[in-house]
Order: sequence, then C-alpha cells, then structure tokens
Amino acid sequence: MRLKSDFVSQDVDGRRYLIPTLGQEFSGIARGNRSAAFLLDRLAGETSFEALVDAMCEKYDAPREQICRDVQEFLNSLRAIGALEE
Amino acid sequence: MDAPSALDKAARDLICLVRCAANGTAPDAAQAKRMDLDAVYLLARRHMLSACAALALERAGLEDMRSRDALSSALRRAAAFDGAMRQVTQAFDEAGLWYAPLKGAVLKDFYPAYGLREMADVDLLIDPAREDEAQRLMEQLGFALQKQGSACHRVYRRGPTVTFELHSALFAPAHGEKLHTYYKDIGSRLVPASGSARRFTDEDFYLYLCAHAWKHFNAGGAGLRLLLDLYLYTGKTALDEGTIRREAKKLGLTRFEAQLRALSRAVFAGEGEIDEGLLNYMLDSGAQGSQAHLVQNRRAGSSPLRYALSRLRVPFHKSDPAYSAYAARYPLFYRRRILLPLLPAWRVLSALGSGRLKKELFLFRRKK
Repeated sequence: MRLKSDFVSQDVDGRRYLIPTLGQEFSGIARGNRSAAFLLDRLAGETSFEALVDAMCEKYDAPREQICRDVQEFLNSLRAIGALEE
Repeated sequence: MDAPSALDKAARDLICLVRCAANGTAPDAAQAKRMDLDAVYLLARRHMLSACAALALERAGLEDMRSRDALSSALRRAAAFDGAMRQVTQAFDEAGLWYAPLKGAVLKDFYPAYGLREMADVDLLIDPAREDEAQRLMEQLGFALQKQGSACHRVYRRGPTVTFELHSALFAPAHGEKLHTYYKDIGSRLVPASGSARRFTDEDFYLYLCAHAWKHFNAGGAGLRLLLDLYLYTGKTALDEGTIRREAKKLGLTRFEAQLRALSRAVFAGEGEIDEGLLNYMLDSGAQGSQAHLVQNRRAGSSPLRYALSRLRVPFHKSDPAYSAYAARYPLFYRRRILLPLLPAWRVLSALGSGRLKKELFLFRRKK
C-alpha cells in the first residue's frame, strides 16, 4: 500500500497537511500531528501494515496492540478520503 | 528596523507579519492582539500574502476562521497547481516540447513553507515554434483557451481555479525596445533541466524578475509580494554580482534593480533605510497593479487632449511596437483591415459599456 500520487503531503509550521491535487471526490484538507506525518512519510513509498506498525513500535513507547489499533484507524481515515492505493 | 510611521497601521502590521513568516519567527503576541485583523487581512488579500499573514498570526496564538481559511485556501490552490503542472509537464516531455517555469512556478520553492507563495496562475515559457501544438496538448488535458492574452502568451483554464499562461516570448516590442531585444532569444540561454524542461541560470532568473517588475512598474505597479519574492530569492541564491551589474546595465535597469533589492532588505531584514516613496507606491499597487497607477503612468506629462489621442491611437503598421499586441487583442479588425478605422470607436463603446471609461476619466482628473 502507499499514498496515492495525486495527494500532496506537506509540513507547514510543524503540522502535516494532506491535500488532493486533482479532481478527487475528497476536496477538503486533512491536517495531522507528528505521528500522522511519520506514517505519511512511510506511505510515500510502497509499504505494508506490518512495516508501519514495526516502525511505530520502534519510535514510540506504547503496547503493540494499541499501536496496531492506531495505525488501522489512521489507514481507515486515509481510505475514507480515497488517499490510499492498495 | 521598523517601518516608518508614514505608513498606515495596517500596512505596518502586514509587513511585520510577513517579515515573521519569511524569517521563521513569531510576532509579539501583545502587538498582534492590537492589530485590526480585518484591515490586515483585506490588505493581505490585495497583495496575495494572506497565507503569510495567517501563518504568522497562528504563531502568535491568533488562529481563527480567517487564518484557517487563508492557509487552507492557499494549500488547496498550491496542490491543484502542482497536480496540473505534473500533467502538463509530462505531456510536454512526451512531445519533446521544451518549457521553462517562470515567476511563481520557480519562486514557490524559495518560500519557507508549502503554499505560502500565492499564485493566480502558472507561467511557463515554451518553444515559440510549437505554440499551436502546446495548445492541442493543453486541450487534450481538459484545458480551454481563455484568450490570446497578448502577442506573447495564451491563457488556459481548467475548472474554476487552475489557470496556465504559456508564453512564447517574455516581452513584446510595446514593453520597450531594450527588454524586447534583450529577451528575444532567451531560449538559447536556458539551461537543460530534466526531460524537456529548461531553466534560467540563477542570474538570468533574477534579472528577469527585475525586468518583469519594471514592466509592471510602468503600468499598474507591483505590490509587496514582489518585494518578498526578491528578498527570498536573493537570500537563498548566490548570485554573481558582476554578471548582475553588467546585464542590468544592458537592460537599463541598474538603478531600479539596486533600489528594489535594497528595499526588500530594508523591509524584510531590517537592513538600511526604507525608501518610503517606493514602498508606498508598491503598497498602493497591490499584487496585480492598480488602475489608478496605470492611468497615472500613461498620462504622465500629457495634456488631456494628448492623453485622449494616445488612448485612441490605433497601430496600422507592423513597425509600430504596439501592433502585435493590438492584433492579438482585436483579431477581427486586423484580419479585415477595412474595419481598422472603426477600432477607436469600438474601444470607446466597449469601455463605456463596461464602466472602464467612466473610471479612467475619474482617475485621469484626480490629482496625484
């Protein structure tokens, strides 16, 4: 899975924005925190759910189960706006 | 160094905010709270600096609906332009049609954050021999030709926001013999980039910015965003000063270039004295120039009769510097030359109908 190429992921003053570039159904802007930015950076290239969870476990000190739930919720939000290519 | 008190407060506040946005600092929160934000945002919109102002205000803890709207609008527009740019450049690459990004399409990468360099359109210089082919490619991508903007460029639009200007030349004869001659063969001085893309050398790009500014200064003027462009570009680019001096002299822009660069440093870096007259002219102009300045510049030194005659003048021969611009703007009259004597009357009638004539007369009569 990866971020679709017609979404732009950019930092502005420490906040990560996700913006569609062409006429997608989603016409809003998604704004995320540092964890979202971390995951979006990994989704710039081809990756997998397990790889994302592993990377988050390495970076953050939290139970793996909780990280799995958080990553799943984040990916679902990307799917909801059509930003994920799977 | 603070802006002098001769500027009105909204202007001083906007400059303070844009300076902070440009330099990665935050404005003093107490000072920011005393700003009339309605006035600041209004002025920021005129200068296409709303996103910069919003960013600085959010740093001072003054995030509100206006700042969120300004930033999200700028980000959305930037993303829409980026997506379209990828499609257009891919099509041009596949066709082997060379192009060089101009103005905002280059300058946006010098701004401290994505989307801060607000643009009304994307400007590209293209191979003048393949203008019609470029039009076909744009139309295949869903763009519609809006107008032949002048003899030098065509304007394309897709949807409500994405506009491209494809330039076959940078300056027409009507913009002055020096500029026209100097930039006549600019294509040969461009440097290959990737695919069919070409780019200016750093010095050539800077000189072009100054020349483009000069063109606008002699028309409706140019605003604060131009000053910010110069500040950020010169701050991040090591320019060969010898080349700049030599080429600016050829263009007749030595003093103008020096004044603008000094003003940009004074306003945004606090270095040296602020040329108030020049700054006020730019503040009055706004990003797109003002009709008042346009009328003043056209009128300069003219009696009312001479001014009226100059506005009604129609170029009949190709040797006239304004010929190509008029021919592009009024193609029917120039294709059927028997209609040309009627063109002045047509221009008066269409100006009357649109209200432009009434406004121009008002501006002409108004004291400077």
